[in-house]
Amino acid sequence: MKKWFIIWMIFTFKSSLALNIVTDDSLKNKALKVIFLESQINIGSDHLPISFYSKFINGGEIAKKDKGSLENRNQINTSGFEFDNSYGIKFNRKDKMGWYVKYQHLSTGGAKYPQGLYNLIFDGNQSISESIDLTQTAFHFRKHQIIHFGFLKNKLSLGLALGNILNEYQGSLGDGDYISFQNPYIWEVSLDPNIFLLNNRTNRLFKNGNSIGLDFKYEGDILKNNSSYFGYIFEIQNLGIMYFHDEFSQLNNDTSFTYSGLSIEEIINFETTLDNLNNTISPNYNLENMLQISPFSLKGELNLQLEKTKLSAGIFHRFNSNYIPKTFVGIDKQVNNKINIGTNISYGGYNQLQLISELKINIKKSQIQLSLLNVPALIPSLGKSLGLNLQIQWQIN
Amino acid sequence: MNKAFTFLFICCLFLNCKKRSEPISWNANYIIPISSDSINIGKILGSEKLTLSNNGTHAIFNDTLKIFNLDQDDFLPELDFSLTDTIDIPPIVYGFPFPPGFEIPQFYTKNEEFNFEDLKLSEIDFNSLKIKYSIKSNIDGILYFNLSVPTATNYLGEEYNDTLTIPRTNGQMEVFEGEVPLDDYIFDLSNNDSTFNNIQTSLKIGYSSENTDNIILSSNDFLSITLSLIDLNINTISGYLGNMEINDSNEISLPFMENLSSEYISIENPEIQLMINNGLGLDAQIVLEEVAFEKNQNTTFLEHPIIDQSINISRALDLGWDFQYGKNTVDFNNQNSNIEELIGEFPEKINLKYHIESNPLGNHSGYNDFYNSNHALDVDVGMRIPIKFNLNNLRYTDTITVNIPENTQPKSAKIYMDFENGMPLNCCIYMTVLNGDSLNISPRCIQSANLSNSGNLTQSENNSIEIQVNNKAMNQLINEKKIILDLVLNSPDTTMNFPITKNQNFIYKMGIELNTNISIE
Repeated sequence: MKKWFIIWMIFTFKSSLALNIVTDDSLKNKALKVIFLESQINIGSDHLPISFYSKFINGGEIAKKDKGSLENRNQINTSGFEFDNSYGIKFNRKDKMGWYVKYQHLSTGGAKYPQGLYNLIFDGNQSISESIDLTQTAFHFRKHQIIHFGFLKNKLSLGLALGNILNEYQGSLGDGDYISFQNPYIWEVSLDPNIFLLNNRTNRLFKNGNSIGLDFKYEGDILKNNSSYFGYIFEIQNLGIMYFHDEFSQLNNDTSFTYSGLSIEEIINFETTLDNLNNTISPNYNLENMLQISPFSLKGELNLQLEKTKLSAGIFHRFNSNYIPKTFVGIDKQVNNKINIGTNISYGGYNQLQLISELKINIKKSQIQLSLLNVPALIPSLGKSLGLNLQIQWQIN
Repeated sequence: MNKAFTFLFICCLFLNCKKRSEPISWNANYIIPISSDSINIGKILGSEKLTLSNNGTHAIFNDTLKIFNLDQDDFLPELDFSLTDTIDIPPIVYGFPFPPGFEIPQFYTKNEEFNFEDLKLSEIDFNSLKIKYSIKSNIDGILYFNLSVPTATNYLGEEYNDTLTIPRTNGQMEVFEGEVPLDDYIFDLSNNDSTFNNIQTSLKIGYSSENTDNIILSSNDFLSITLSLIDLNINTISGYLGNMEINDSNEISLPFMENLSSEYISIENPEIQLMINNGLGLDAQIVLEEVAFEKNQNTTFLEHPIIDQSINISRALDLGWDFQYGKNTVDFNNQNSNIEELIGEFPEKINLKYHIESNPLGNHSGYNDFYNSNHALDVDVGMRIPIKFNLNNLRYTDTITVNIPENTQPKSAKIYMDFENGMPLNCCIYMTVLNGDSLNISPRCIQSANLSNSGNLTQSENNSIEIQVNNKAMNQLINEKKIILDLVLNSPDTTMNFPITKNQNFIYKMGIELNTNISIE
């Protein structure tokens, strides 16, 4: 039991997102059977210091310095996390059709919100005198289990992704929604929320939602000779649909009101007041199926290899995930036959700027690549994101 | 490679197995509107109960309070209509075989006069009732009996008549019981104006055609029938309804008065009227023996010449096209009673002792008393209290429960209140937590509205106050969840009674500035 637990722990190790990892062609071309693990974890925000997340994970009081800047209340912020953990097996055969199978556990959560809304929750409304525009406010949280399988031929990979949706929560506020605290006695609220909640059906094989999507990857060469290489990668994962079965709830209440406290009658009949409030904000339990575009990811990358140095640049995006399209540039240097070191800078995702350090180790038939996302975050007060990225490939023949 | 996996495993343990050792918490300052409202006497007393005085200067509160209600159960004894008849089978039929369908050619009639103390009832109109029967028999065969009540007719004028089956007994003595529901039957209890409280029944017995064999009756065969009228839902009764004396008491609770007290209150000409509406077709006499007003276990008695004196109440008249109540009224005012003193007591309870006698002159109407279930004898109190008064230290004290949401740990707070006072009242506010510490309220008192020489509103007065809840008081509030509120109201001066109309408002807005620590497990 302990042995299986250890194996499970190793394979669910949380590491970070490494977008510019390129599988070593030399290894791939030689390896007929490859077991691989791609594990990514990244937590970040464009305004919160890492110490804020540290308090969320470890507990403790979120002090003023952990809250980040409280200025510029109408600035739209983004925060979120990615936990994308995959492991599988590939059968590569040079110039012949190969195949792959991969299990992916994808868990992401993200939110876009105005600074004023954050201030309202974590600092209070005492210092907020103007309206908070909630127009772009949105959030999501999802937990999906996905099986990917398909064919490999030369530089093309094509397959299907079949998903079990454990959780899918989405929410957004409408155009023109706002909340205003103009004096101690009046709150003005105008909200048109659209919230969708699909909960896990525990202890059941078939969950409340499923997805089907297309996986596509192509690695193209632009220039290739003995001393240099220039190529590109284009990859789409899980482009398709999510299908929600009949057990989810929705909250759509277009409401606009001025709250100036309860009347005496409402205070006297407080239980009735609470009942009325609950009835007003209770979600509707939907009994109809629903289709949505799946939260697919898109990656494009250019790679230039000059002898022992590799330069890369690209873009990555998670759709339907409150994600800022991420761009990156990087450099990788081969130190010796076993070790490569590299760095890159990215902008986007759930944070903005990340400085990433990479270490790649080749040991016999195995390759391990470990990346630390956002080196400045090693000093918590400096960074706004932190992540680890681990990729392991093991040739088993 | 093994070292790499060991490293990963340690990292894994570090990341996966660490649990949150303490809750997440943060400090925040919230400003929250608590309450706002506009209060006037219409909201407090009910605007439908307010009228305007003749000169238009003040409102008048009009209300009616039911003191007691005399119904059928109070003035009539229990009406027990039960009769038992043993059927004597004529010896002439003994020993002869009779085929199925044979009926004993004899009516068994019964004329029962019931004793209801001194009541002499001539007619009862039932909305509904049931005839309950109990049959004791040892006759070996299925019997039937036909019951008719010639003096009971339905709305079509048809006599009551029904046939019931008595199951086979196999020669053993057995009892069979059942009920027959009847709706809208009128029972003539006078036997064609010759008597009272009388019910006639007529029975016929037969050998059911459901039998397959002949029956031979003998002297050992026994059959008795007990009938009773139950679940009596009476519409009307007529006759003489008797002479009955009732000594009773009644307690009226006024729990909202518990929190009020006053050193002095002067109300301009309050009037209370005792209204007796007799919907019964009988004469009556009422004696109000005692009316006691209780406050904090102290009792003050109503003083008025009518107390302990008889009030004669005339009977109601049912003219067919019109129903007229017998009405009596007794007025209470500052000139003939001490009601101003009693109102100023803000009584929590009113205890009433009374004596009622029905038909004190006996059968004065010559058996023409009646009772109609739609009408009863009601005693109500009508109040007409002008909202024109002078108060000296009217105190409202209440212990308010404060529910602080879980996961919030307020450290201190400041409560803001803005008032627009359109009332001729100064109000001072005192708040204490349960350990006796007072909250710092600044200023403590709200000034009365600006008034004319005659005491009428000229302009509302704006006031603002702040209430500080320091850390110590907040901890008391969190632990005890209660705060004691004490409001002291005073008229601007003692020179006159100050009028209030429905249009005079007391408007307030209340908000709180809360320095709090939010905590999430």
